[in-house]
Amino acid sequence: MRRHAYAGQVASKGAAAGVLRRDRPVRAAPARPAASVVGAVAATLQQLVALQASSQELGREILEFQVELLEDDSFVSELIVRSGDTRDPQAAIGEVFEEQIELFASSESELFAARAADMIDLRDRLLGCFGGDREPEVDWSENSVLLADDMTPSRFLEIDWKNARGIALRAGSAGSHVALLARAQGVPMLVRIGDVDPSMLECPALLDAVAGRLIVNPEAAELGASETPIHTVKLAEDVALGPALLPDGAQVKINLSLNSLASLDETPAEWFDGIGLVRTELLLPDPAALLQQEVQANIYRRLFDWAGDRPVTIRLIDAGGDKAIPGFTIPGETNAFLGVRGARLLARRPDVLQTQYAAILEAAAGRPVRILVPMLTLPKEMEFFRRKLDEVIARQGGNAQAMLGMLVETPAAALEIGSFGADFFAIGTNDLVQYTLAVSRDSDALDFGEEIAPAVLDLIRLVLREAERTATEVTLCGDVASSLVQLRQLIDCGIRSIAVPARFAPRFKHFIRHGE
Amino acid sequence: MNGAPSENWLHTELTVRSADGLHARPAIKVARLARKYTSTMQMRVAGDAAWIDAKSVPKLMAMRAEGGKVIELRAAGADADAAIAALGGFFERAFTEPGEGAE
Repeated sequence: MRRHAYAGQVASKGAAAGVLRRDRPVRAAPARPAASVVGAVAATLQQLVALQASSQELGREILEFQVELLEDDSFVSELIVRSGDTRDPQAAIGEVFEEQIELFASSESELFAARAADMIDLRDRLLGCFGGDREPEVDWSENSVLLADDMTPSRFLEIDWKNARGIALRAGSAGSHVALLARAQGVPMLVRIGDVDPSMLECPALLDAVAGRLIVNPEAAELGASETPIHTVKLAEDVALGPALLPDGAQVKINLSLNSLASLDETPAEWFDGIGLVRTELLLPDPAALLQQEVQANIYRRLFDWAGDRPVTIRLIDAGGDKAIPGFTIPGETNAFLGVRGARLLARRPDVLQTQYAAILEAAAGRPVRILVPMLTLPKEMEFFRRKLDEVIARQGGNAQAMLGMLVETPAAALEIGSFGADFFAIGTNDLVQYTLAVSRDSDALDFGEEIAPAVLDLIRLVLREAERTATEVTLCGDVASSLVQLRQLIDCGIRSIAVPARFAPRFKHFIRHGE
Repeated sequence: MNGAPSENWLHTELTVRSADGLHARPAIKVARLARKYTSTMQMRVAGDAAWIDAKSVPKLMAMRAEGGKVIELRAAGADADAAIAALGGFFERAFTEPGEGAE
């Protein structure tokens, strides 16, 4: 029994152990095979409506698209016409579907592409209604992990998820309807694991839909007490919920630090107290988007939708330094980190700044939003950003709820923190460390140990003192907030709000509550 | 694709304001909204040649109106004005009902 591991993409978090079984395709048998296209459409509709009745709301909604298709006159008449003048109506039906499937599958939008799966689902069920060979139902007598090329939503809804514990798909997509269903029902699911050798079927398997692995013939230790055994996976999910309270009852706010929209769909909003930092320069599809308000507004709207009532902090484009954007950043500076970057770059391109302000306010649509200015050194820079924001607000009708904050990344900003007139503070430690210690963050020229250097801590204390004096909120973002040793130092020094990548939330909340 | 004389069409342009585009769920909502009116309603992505029936979910989906695209809408019939206003509002609100948060 050789151990085999397959890497995949997590579509629904969790872990499951069971016998690896190949799932059968959807081919629900009608009582009597249909004799005509009209009969097959009627029988399929009947099955779908019955499935809808036995499903939760999400399942009902997902099947609605298929029901709509079968109730659409133009679609059904095409099926009837195309299958009417051929000896093989089933092949003709397959062709009609194939054209639609190709159309969807070729879309660059994942949501459109995922609809191809609904079409396949409907086609298979419809063709199944003509009768013919039928694969037997999977043997559910033991806990099983299902393996399939892809799984359709209606197949998912047919399965009794008591003994079926998880899904591993050769292809598939995390944006598909079946992935939505799996997340809603807490069924662990991996997609894009690639080809699995057929000899692996009927072997014991561990689906680790946290680390993104399907392990066939896992070692005993992996099933019992490895890094992601089932009980700790469950624990991790639970731990990440609720506020992170220190033993003295004070809360440390855990905010999301976001680099990509794709990861947003996989991140539960319930884990977080808000969005603490958005690296907007990484979310734009291309440099042209710098001046496209609609494109940006569509992106930022996703943030508000995800966050619900939680506060959303969006950092303005922070380009320059090691982050070049063609046509925007200035090439060939001898020392880009000390050159035109962050706020300095935006100040030279008011068109880019105004577009981003307008897009953020449009997406916020009257909801509160916190806008963060990166890489400030002089108070007069902040005045400029404030004036430009006021102009854009006035132009859009004047009813925005926007706060303008400063990202403290330079010693100058920390030392003069009180002169900037910021509505809130954020501390960007990556740059603060390199500008304070005069060592670039990717250099090992200076060994300053695992702890945060005292000089950096002193600057953080300056910011905290001013925050306390003026009752201003302060959040800390950056790599120093991703080591437990440094997190301990930051909490001791008075930090009560941090922004971290999603994966750190469970571990950090546990650490804050229990000190270990 | 229908008998309405072209000079009677009322025209408007709409923008797909939802980042996710006119995917399955909004397409169902658009078709259902369009079916509340007796007027013939057709749409196309600006620049496309063919008009499609705005009351048909598969046709709306096949239009592949992704986020940010501009859609031409035309309606002909007794309640064409009201139909255009209703669909226009629905697009403006990024496919949400009045008072509902964005999808």
